[in-house]
Amino acid sequence: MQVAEIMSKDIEVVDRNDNLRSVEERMAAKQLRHLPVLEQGEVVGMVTQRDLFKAAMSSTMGYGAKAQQAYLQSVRVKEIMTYPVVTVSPDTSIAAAADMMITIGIGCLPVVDNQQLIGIITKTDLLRCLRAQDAV
Amino acid sequence: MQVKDSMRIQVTTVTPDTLVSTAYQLMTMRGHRIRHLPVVTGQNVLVGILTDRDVRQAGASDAPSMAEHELLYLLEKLRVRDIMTQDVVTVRGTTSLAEAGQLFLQRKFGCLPVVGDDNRLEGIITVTDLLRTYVEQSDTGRTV
Repeated sequence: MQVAEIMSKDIEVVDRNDNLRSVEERMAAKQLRHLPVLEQGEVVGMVTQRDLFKAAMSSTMGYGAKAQQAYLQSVRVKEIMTYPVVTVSPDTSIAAAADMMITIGIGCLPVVDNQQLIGIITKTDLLRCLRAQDAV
Repeated sequence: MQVKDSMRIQVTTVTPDTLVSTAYQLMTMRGHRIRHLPVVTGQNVLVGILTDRDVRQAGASDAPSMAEHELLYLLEKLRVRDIMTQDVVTVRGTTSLAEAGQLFLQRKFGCLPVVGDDNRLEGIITVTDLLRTYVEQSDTGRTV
């Protein structure tokens, strides 16, 4: 089986100039932990809930929710995003994708075809797929 | 296969008396990537779990009537017991991996503490551990 068969195609993305508060709101609304940063269809970075957590806590511990929101609003995605991003192609096997996530220690892989983002695959997607096959 | 075949037994834990600021440092220390800290008593009995979200919310608590230095002082004194989640869903070492996998998917958990008799912590299992087991099994050509 290939990642193309189980990837999510409805992808939430952010721009490198978006502020962290809007990113956090979108993560919360859709219950997402990872958002790819897109520039002309190409993945140029990744921002995770952990990045936001660190940014918010290190600067505003104890200063209240309003201060935390104001701070997040003042920081842009490009200041904290991770790059370069590890990606897979749509014909990557499920087993290879799982192996990559475990070896590299990441929770999600953008699926890229011709340098354009076409999907995203998470550990949960993999687990769901393996459960459906009764593999795990 | 069972949870005990896949779980990690080296687990970073805190106690109810641990300072929240210390727990935060444990979660974010270099080389540590921890989202959940099991909370145990001296006898290793599981009494709660502390997530990064709990810590974040504690750090953001609004107290408009309080002066800044008072709030900082309070946070410095805040302990894990004050903000931990007490109702923890757990599994046993003998729980099947299939059942653990269902729990992850249905309840949207990333991690399940593994307990033995008297709720003593034996390890934790994560979605990653399940995937690792799958990869190892398929490498050796066996079915899981």
